[in-house]
Amino acid sequence: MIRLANVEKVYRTDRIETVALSQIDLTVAAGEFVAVMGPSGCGKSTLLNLIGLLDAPSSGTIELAGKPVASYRDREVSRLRNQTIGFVFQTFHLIPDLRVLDNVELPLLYRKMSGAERRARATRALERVGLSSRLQHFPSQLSGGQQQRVAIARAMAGEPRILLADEPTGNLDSQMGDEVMGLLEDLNQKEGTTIVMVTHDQRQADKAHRTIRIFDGRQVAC
Amino acid sequence: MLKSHLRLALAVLQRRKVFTAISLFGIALTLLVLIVAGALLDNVFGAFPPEVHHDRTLLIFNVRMEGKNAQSTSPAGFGLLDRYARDLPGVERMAITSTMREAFSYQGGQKHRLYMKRTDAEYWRVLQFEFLEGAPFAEAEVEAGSRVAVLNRSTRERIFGDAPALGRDVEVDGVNYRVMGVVADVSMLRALPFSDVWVPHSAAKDQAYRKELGGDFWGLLLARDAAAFPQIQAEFRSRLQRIDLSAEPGFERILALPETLFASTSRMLFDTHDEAESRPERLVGVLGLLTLLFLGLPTINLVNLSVSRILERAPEIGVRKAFGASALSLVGQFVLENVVLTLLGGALALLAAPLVLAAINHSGLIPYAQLGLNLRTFGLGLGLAVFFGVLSGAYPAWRLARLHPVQALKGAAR
Amino acid sequence: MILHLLRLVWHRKRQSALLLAELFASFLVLFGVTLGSVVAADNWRRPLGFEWENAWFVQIRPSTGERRDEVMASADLIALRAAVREFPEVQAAAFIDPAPFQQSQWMDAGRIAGRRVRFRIASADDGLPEALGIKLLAGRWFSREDDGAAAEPIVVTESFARHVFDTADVVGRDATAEQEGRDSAPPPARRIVGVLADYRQDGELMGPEHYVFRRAEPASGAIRRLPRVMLVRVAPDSGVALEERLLRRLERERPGYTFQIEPLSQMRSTRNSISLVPLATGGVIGLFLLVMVALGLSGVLWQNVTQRTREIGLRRAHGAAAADVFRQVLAEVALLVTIAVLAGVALVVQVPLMDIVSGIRPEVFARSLALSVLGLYGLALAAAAYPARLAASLEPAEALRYE
Repeated sequence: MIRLANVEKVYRTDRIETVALSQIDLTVAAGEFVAVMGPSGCGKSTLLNLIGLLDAPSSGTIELAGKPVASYRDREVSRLRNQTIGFVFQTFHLIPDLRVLDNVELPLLYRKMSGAERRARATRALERVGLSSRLQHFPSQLSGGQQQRVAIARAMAGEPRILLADEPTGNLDSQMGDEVMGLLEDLNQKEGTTIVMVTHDQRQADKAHRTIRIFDGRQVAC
Repeated sequence: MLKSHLRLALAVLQRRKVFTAISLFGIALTLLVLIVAGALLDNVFGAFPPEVHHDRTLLIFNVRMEGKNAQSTSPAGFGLLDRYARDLPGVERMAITSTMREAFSYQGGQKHRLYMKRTDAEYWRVLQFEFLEGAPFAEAEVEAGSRVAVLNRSTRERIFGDAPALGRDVEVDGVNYRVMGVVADVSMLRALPFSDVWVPHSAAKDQAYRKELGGDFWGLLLARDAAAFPQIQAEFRSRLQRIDLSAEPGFERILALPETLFASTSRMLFDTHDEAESRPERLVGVLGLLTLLFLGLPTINLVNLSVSRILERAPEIGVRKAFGASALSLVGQFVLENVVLTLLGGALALLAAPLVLAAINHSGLIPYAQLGLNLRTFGLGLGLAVFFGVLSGAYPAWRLARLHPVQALKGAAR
Repeated sequence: MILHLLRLVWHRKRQSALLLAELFASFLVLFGVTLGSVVAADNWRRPLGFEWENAWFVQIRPSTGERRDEVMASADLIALRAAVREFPEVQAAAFIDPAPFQQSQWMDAGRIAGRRVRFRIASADDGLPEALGIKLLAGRWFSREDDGAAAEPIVVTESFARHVFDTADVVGRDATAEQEGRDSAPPPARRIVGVLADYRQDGELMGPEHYVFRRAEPASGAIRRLPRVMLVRVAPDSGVALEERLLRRLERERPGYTFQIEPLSQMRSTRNSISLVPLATGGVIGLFLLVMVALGLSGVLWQNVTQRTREIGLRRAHGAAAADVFRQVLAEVALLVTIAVLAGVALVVQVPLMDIVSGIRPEVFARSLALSVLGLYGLALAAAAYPARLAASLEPAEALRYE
């Protein structure tokens, strides 16, 4: 489902070059649940951004769903992100000006789809995360755990084959964190969604099928 | 998607009340000024009764005589129009009117300042005035040099009170005229039909004006249709070349051209009398340039406000990009937001415009001004609002759509 | 501190550039409005050079048409003037052309005493000073002793004298205007017989220009162009009744002419309102643009402050007092204004340097410039005051936590 071959990412500013990732070879099979662990600043998030096509590698190739991402043109990358990938962020990143339902509809907005169907799908996704009573609330009216569940519903609504989660439980207490993890596991088992999750928490990582460790931009052991 | 973006745009505007208020204030006032200016221009150049055949009327305003060391520009002379502008091919009617002149009337111990025009009988057929009393003077009165007059309603009221004036005498500049008719007021912005008093051109004390090439008269040519304009102009020009200028020492050629009101105005403003072709696009260009200059500051202001308003939402842009929004759709979204904002401002301006126009009408700054919002002015306001919205939304949208998604998510927007 | 701020401005150069553009454009608008008002106010305070109260304007038109000079005869004018002087209410009557507040003007230009000068010119008869309340600084007005003089007598304004001769003591000097670039007939010789303080035909709102009177006394015979306006000084409180009687008398005297009478006071208010309309329109539009800019600036800065909450929190944590933060926000704005003003002044001083607009005195220009610079600082700082207070009132801990 995901293949990275000899991927390297270097950040350049006027004076310094920082190697964020180097020689990353990684294969994630369809339906796998992979955890990525490592100390702060080791390049975990960069790896996730590369897989999610939010960022382009300095060298190396990335394949998604069997097809190499040949060019990183805005239009093609946008379509891939829209149809294949879903994101869950540590800080939720809900749009404060939009109601819960509109937030969940977001990935569907950039597809050709009728408003009614968009609405129906978003409502279904919110039902699955147990928030069907909060459709018309603004994000600021929800607790942290609820906000992250909205974010997961948003990622689910687009029915992506790959879900990328960047410390999804990092801003939550352990009980809420477990709830969120439950949702992700459920998604992985029932829908067969491939999940790549960055985490600091060994307990959460244990719930994944395998764990990748990164240290100073290099993959350590599988 | 459009609907959703529209909803978002409204939600954003509602939640950022201070920004919305400041932006709306600026937009509404800017558009208000432009709409009022547009209404003024429309009142000068648009088609309103009594100029019912505006689209097929040509005018001869000025003539220019040129010699080696001398040149003179003045309104056309009666003689020139009478002898050379009659029976042009493609012309249905030809009317002659003097330019507007100030005159005074002493009546009942009071003094009235009036504007007066001297016209022929055709004038009343080319222009369709609304007669409240009586009728216009006809060929018979003009040929006889009768001292008869048509007044407008306000002048009747000033001189005779509310009573009918038909058949009564009115004194203007020491001459007594019998009132033949009373017409509705026409705004002073309408150069051709505006006046307070109209009398036959032949009622003058002296008849020397009949021979003049340059003088103080205008010619109105009612063409069969606009397609006949070039033919009319060509024929008139060739007739002018045949004029014997021996009676005008120092001058070698005489120039004049029947043109539309807009083209003649453009010619007068730019003093391009020596050019054979009129260049009305110059006036359009200057008006456009003035509009753009005037729009400059409000646009920068709105761009600044928009940039701040949108920069605040950098994380939102990151999220949208992560979920597959292309740069183009983001540009569309933010431009749409600005267009919605300016349309709201435009709506406010359109609501306020009738009040401002009514205030100008009542101020007496322009005698008998009848400025009003019509469909054309309304369309202008709407078009300007959209133009302004796109203009001021494009730059910030373009800047933001290019944001790197990772940076945007971190909220680091510079 | 200034360097530190400059660096901040530089790092936010995109946003700073937009703000600078806005401030720059605002400066130009502000300067335009200020210059217009200062010039008008300056003009208003200066002496007009004549008295318009109780003076009436009588237009004389041969009814044969507008442009025929030859049909007017000196004898007609003399008879008309005499007829008007018969009225006991009439204190003086004189010919002038063009008259005060009249739209038309005559310009003349040439090289006098080696110096190039453009000036306005009017023709007047021997009785004008009494009719118009004109006072001479030196010399005398036209009189019979000018009859048959070899050089045409002229009366000039003090500004003309100082411009050409660098002194007001010019009575008796030759003021023949050599025409440039024209090899036509030699210019008529002119000699100065008197000097006036000032004379502004267009009224109080228009700027002073060099002005010259030439003699056009119908009784002297030799006039090239007959004046067509008679000014009549009447007793105070003369009304429409006298106007009508005068008019009828004139019509009876010379039926071939058309006459129009209007008090100068009325012509003055018409003229002034014509001058005021563009000024007022420009002023209103300019002020509204500036209010809009002030509001916009305030909004942008407010946004800027919320965006930089973290930076401000950091400064507070490192010991900056609330007043320091307040001052910093204001100082940043002041810095932007300074850059915009420098650019604006550099552009605006081209106007007098390249002599684009004439007739604006340097001190008026300088005063307008100073006022508009101060005005822009005031405007921008007033707009920044609220956001700056907002920034200063942030609690350090809260500011740091903010995301």
